[in-house]
Amino acid sequence: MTEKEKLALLEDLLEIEEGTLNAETNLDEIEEYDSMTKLSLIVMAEDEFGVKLDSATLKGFKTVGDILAVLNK
Amino acid sequence: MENIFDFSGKTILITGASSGIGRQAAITLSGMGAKTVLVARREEQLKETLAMLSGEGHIYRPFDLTDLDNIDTLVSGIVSETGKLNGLVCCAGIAPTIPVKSTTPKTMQETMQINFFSFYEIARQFIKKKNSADGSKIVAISSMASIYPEKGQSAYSASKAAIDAAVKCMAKELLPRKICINSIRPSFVDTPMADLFCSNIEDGESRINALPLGIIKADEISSMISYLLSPAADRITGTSFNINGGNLL
Repeated sequence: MTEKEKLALLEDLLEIEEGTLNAETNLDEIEEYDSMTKLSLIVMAEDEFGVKLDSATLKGFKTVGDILAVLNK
Repeated sequence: MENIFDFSGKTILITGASSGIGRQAAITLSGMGAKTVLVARREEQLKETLAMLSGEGHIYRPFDLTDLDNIDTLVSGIVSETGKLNGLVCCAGIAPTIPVKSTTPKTMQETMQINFFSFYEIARQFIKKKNSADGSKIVAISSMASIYPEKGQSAYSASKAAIDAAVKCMAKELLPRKICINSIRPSFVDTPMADLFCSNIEDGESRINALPLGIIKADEISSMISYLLSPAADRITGTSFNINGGNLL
């Protein structure tokens, strides 16, 4: 999956307009990135990438790029 | 004076007996003289539970309760070995914490399958005259989430509310055989399932710590289970008991 496709998945998850996110986007600046969305991210990471996210990893995310890096595994 | 919590001569089938509330129920009931039949998927953990029990004559059966079509064979096989059962305690369950928008039909199906359909089917087999004695008791573990769910618990709370609703109807149908059926709605119980909630929900730990009377211990649930299985509860059926740790909102 390309980085662009992963960004599209995240945008879909966050229900924000396509093309809004890039790797440098700070997660604190995304209003939609709340506790429920984080749970959805856990589900999406496991279903789409086979990656299990724990709470420590989630807390460590500062930018969209941090999420993409984990989804690259 | 007769000890109404003496379960000598009674055989109780417990699902989800490999850990948590189910394991504790087996420990408590065996301590009161019951013979227990332990059912869960994981054989190694069932053996661990077995080693924790008091008394003799307990058996275990590794079984995946989502295999609904074979629950009849499971129950009849157990009864052929133990004789008619006197009690059924349904503790098997999963507690997904997933927002609505990520709760797929597959997640919903899995949750209902283990939390509700398996309870329903094993209860349906248990109540057959050939499998249980008149005056037997059934206790199902529901959850406070069935009436006061947290965010992310839509599938879980629906599955537990289904138990509570079915219990009321089953109770009416089982009156002629004096079989009593009730459910227990615990709030957060100190089990691996609560640990999972803490790891999935950002403020899970603080929500659990906010219980006015503190997190509920598994042996407090098994005490209620014992009560509902005992003659002390012969006139109680079709009811759901809240064990809420003082959280009344």
